[in-house]
Amino acid sequence: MKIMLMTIIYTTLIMGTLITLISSHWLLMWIGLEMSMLAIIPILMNKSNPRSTQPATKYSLMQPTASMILLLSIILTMMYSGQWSIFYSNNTTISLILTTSLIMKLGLAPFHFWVTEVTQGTSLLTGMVLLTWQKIAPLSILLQNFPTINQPLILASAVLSTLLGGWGGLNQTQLRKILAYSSIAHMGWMMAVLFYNPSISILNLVIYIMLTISTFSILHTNNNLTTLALSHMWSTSPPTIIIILMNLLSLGGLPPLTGFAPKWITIQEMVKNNNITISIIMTMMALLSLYFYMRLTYSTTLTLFPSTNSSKFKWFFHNNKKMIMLAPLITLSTMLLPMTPLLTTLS
Amino acid sequence: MILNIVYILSIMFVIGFISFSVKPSPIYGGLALVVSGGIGCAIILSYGGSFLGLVVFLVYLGGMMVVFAYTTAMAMEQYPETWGSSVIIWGTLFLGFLFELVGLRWWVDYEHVEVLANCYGMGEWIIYDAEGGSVGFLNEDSAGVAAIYSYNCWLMFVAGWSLFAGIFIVLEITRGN
Amino acid sequence: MNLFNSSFIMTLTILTFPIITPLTNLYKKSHYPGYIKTIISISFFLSLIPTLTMFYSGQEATMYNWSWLNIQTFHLNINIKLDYFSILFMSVALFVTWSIMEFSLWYMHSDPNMDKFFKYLLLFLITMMILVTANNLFQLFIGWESVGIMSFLLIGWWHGRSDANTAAMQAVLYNRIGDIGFILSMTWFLLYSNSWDLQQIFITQEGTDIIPMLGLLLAATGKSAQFGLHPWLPSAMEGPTPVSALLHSSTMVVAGIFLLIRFYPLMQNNQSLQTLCLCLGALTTLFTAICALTQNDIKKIVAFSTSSQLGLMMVTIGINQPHLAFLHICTHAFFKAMLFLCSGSIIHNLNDEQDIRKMGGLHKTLPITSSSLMIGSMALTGIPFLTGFYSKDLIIESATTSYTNAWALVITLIATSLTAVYSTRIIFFALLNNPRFNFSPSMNENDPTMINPIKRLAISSILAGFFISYNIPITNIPQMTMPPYMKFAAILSTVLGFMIALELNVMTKNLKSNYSTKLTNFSNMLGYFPPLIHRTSPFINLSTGQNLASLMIDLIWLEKSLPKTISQTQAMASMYTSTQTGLLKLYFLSFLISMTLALTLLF
Repeated sequence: MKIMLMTIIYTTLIMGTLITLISSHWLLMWIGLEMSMLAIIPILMNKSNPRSTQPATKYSLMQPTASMILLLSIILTMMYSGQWSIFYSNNTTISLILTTSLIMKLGLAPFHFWVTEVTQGTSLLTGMVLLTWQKIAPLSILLQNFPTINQPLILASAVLSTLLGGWGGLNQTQLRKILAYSSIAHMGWMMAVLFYNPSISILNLVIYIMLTISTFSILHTNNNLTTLALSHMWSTSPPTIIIILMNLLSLGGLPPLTGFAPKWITIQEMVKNNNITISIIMTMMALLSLYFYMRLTYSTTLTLFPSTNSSKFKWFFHNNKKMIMLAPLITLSTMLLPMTPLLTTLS
Repeated sequence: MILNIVYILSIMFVIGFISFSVKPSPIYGGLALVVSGGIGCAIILSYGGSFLGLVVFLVYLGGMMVVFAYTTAMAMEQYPETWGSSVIIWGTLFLGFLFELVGLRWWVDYEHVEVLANCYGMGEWIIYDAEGGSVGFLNEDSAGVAAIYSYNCWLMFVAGWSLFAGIFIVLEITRGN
Repeated sequence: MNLFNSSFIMTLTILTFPIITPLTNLYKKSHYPGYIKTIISISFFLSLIPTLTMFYSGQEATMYNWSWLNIQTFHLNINIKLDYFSILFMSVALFVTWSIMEFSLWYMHSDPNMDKFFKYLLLFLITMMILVTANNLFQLFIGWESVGIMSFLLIGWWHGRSDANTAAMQAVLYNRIGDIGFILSMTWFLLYSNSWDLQQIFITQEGTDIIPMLGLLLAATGKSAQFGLHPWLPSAMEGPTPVSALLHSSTMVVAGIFLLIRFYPLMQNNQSLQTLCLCLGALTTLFTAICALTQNDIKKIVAFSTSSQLGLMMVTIGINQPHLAFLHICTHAFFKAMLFLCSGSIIHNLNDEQDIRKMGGLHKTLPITSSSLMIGSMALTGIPFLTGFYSKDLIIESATTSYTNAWALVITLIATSLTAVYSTRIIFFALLNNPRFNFSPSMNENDPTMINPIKRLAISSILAGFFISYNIPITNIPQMTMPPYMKFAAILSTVLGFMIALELNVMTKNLKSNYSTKLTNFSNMLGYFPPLIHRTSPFINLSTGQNLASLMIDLIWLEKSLPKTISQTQAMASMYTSTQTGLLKLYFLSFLISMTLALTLLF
């Protein structure tokens, strides 16, 4: 029974996003969003204690609100244009409402508070789904409507996201929260270039998803939830600390790693479009994010925390958790930068 | 005459939501919601959308009533807060009214507020011309329903699947371990 | 007349042989210091040929040897000036150095690096020769700087002692201040005359511009230890005694005065600068004479007397009598070298005792040294018909007869009488009365390498002044007629100084309470000049440096204002933006706020 239930729920989750992706009808698009939103709630609260109910409640409060506002903008679009298909209206109010609702759904800056709290309340894998799969559908709507998007609003939101993502992460020792803040910051980068070149946003999203999945997977294999737990990882599996070092630096966007590519291309595109100020501000803000990634690598790789003798033999015990596709994901998320010249179709 | 009724109903609609959002106690909040919902149906009715109004009243308010009764039974406080029980709540309510009056005044006098949604012709009769040569009248609402079932069968499938999954999800959430 | 030039070149050339020979095997066979001494004596005799030729026929010459460098219209040649100053100074310097070298054979005989010491002394002399014979400012500058470097090496000869190192460092540092002036003048002449050749400068410039003249004065002040930049000279006594002798007689300190003499065609047109020279010289001569009064180190007293005499030379420049100043340089070289050699003899014989209070009665044990010391002191004070008389008397006479700054004149006269006072003090304490030292059986003065130079210099201290002043071509004619009291002013003030000093010194035989007045302290502490300058100015510099470099730049700018501020701002912002949890109503309210803001801003 449990398996059947989970099948239904995961099918709905995947189908909802897919429906949003393939539909050209506003209503169906909205329904797809609602489906995936509905399906993630039981996944969020897989244990029925108050601790896990809390994130589900927060999520089910924020997301329907956003959906409602989206529906409002859809109906208004219908009223103005008389059709349900995606139509580039140039009504500022509608685009404002549409943009705001999608920002809210994606958890971008002024409405980013729920992201960290929900992520922190769930397990690592659920957090991973929340931060990767759930971003695809709203982002696809944004991508399909990018000429409609209110540019000042989305740029302000992007800058705020990178800023608040950086600041928020500075204050954390919980890994899930840190990754949530890093997600906020990355979303900011995607939003910044959306108006100029949506393909780069897609590239950004793809690489971000790869990075996040591999990071979450590594954390999941050893079930690390805090920085402290991460600092004891050297005794469990020594190769992992090097891998997580590379992964975190890639998330931070350091040059020889994959994470540098989207930032590079984004900055290039923004400078090409004469938007130098915002790209400079965002680059500076990326330093904040880099700082907390560096702090994680510092406690993971560069130092040996004092620990008892018995804790040094954990490598002896075999770890049963196996993540699929971990090796190719790690390879992709760290060594993809030399493939960047293949992206000639983007510009 | 009809227009005036719609205006009065709209004012009451807003008042209902103000009363809901100052939220003295969940039970009164629910009550305000029910009232607002009823008024909403009345607005639709007064535009002539008899079918839609009826459907909303039956389906939405019916469900709402059940929820209302259930929550009342489950979460009844001994001394629930009413709108008059606290100066703050009362003040907020008053402020809400005040804002509504100001908004109304602004709307009536200067007509600066852009009308975003125009509710017109929600229920109309349309003339159809069938292939067999017969001509007849049909209510637009029911035509829309028929159209959903015929042209938008995949939408209906998705919606049905959503409802189906929704039941399971609600069950999964509420069943406990 | 080719003999004139060629013998002059020969004189310079053979001085370089001892520099070259160590590269060959000859070095191993010969006694190197003795070889150097011989070379210098040969050089001296060779240098007599041009000197006597010049005395006889008044011949002067300028040699352009080699075009060194052409920078557009600016030509730099190696050229040598053979005029009265350079030729005469060469002879005098070689003679004095010959004696000093010979004396060093005795004085430094136990030094492990004796060869090196002699080579340094020789280089010191050669660099001075370069300076003196230079016909352009660049050569002059090479000599000028090399003299400074060699003085650094020689003063710091006993570098195991921190005092010696400090003294060497002081010499170099004070000279660097002077070099600023020299380089300033060089730059100015390069800009406004496009030449460093002396003749061209004298043709193109009139000397009315104060800037290059002030630069030259600063250079001379540094090199010749005039007031303000004088403390290095008494400190230089940390070097070996032959070094002091060489430094004070014929090299280094006279270079500054020599520079001003070289530039007198410009100086004589600049009244304000001459007044400056006069006042500076007068101040120096009085101040250092006062300082000499209460010193107890025999070498320090002699050093201060040098400083005082340099002040007198500066006064002479100030009253526009460069030839008299040069005459004084030459005569001063003889007796000052001898005074130092005598002190060296005394110091060595008393087992390195330099305090005159612990000497006494040396006229019995060291008769020749004592007599020479007497002769030297007499010559220094200007007792008639000794060497010093011929220059000093002329200087005082021309000063008194010129209608110039009476203040400077009075000061100079006081300093003249003070010269007699401190000379008396040396004679009284070191030579007269009873011995106050532990007798050592090794005391003697029979070594010819020690006694011959002293004798030679003693004879020249008596006679040289006559010969040189007999052959001096006076260009600026001094006043020849004057009232008797003016004529006798110099000798009278000297005699007065002698008498007062004798009376005062006799008082030391009485028991005296150990009490020193403020005046004594002022004199004994060198006018509090070194403590003020050597402590205060480095302290101010270093504390300013610390405040600027360490506190302001490092701590405030590089630490506090950027990294600390950034990290604190970010930490605070991070705290304010992300410490709340679960404020759902506010999260919803953020929608209202953003919507309102967006609507108001975008419409």
